[in-house]
Amino acid sequence: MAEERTPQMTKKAGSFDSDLIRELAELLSETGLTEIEIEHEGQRVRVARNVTVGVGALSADVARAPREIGDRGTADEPHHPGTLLSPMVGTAYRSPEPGAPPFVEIGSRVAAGQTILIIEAMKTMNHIPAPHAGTVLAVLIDDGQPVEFAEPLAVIEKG
Amino acid sequence: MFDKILIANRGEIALRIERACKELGIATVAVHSTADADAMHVRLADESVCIGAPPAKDSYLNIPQIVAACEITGADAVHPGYGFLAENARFAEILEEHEITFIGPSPEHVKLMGNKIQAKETAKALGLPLVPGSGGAITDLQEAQAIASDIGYPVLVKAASGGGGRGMKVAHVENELEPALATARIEAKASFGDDTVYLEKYLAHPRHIEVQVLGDGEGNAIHLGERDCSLQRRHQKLW
Repeated sequence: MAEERTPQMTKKAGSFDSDLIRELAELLSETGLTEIEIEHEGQRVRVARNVTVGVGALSADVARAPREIGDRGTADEPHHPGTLLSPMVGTAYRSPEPGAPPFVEIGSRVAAGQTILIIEAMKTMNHIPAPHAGTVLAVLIDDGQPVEFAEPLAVIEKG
Repeated sequence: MFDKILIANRGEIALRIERACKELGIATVAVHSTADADAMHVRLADESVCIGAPPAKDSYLNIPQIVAACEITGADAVHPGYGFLAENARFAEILEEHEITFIGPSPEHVKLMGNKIQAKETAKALGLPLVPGSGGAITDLQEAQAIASDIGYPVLVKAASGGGGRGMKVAHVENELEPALATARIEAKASFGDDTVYLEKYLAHPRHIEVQVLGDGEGNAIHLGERDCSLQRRHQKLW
């Protein structure tokens, strides 16, 4: 029954390799392991299942797996206390207009209230300010990426 | 036919819509609060968008976030289910302005019947018999007391935007009226984003009969016969 769930795991997968995950998921059920994590060419993939809770927990775990992928900074988001979470649903932009330099780069010093990025929602451009002064450790979104509420956008270390 | 429907609801309601969409080959987008990220309706939808914090007014009743969720997912229609924004004319209007189809009555029809005070006025204008009550919104306690003693206790304070048993409080005697008003208002504000309340005579053992009507927007309509909804728990229908 766990095997039958594997097609669900491509949900939200976006640009990365869904065949790889399917392969890992099959390996998981064959070997009876509960978790496999591999790192390859800058991509990290973790496939896990919770045997005691059952099928539902498996698909939920795997659905979340894409969030653990990507190399956009050094911070351990979303647990870092300086993580800036999206206050709204919309499309995130890193620069004031197409072609312009981004508001911030990794390593930029920012003041409290300084615009970090823009989120467009219902044709309104909303400036998302830095909650505190500090250094940008990571920018966790790509230009033009859709974001949901409470999605980690950037990590700004205080100081 | 739609390609992708956003479901502005949760739980069993959202699951039923997802199932119908699967049968029809329509992609689904679930929306959820931060508290419902692992809910079944989120897991079984093709896509999902977190739209806000746990209180309904910040998520399932948050119109801008839901419209933005349609924009980022490219949904061409919204199914509101029932409760939440299903009878909110403003929501239906905003979707229309954004060229997203609201799967439900037109904003004009929602306005006519979605607000209970307006619905009673509509029924009255058509000469239908009504349960006696305030006939409009109640703004202060003195007014409520005068109407209640006129129609006789027990009385029921009801939310104009109410539904699902929320925002309804009974006052059996006069000194219960003030807390009933206050509680109904708070519940109504939290559940529907509108604290307008009105008063009517409380019927302790009524029969609740509905006739459900379905229209396809092309001039065809059917009704599904009588449905006895008298068996309830916490003012919510059991089936």
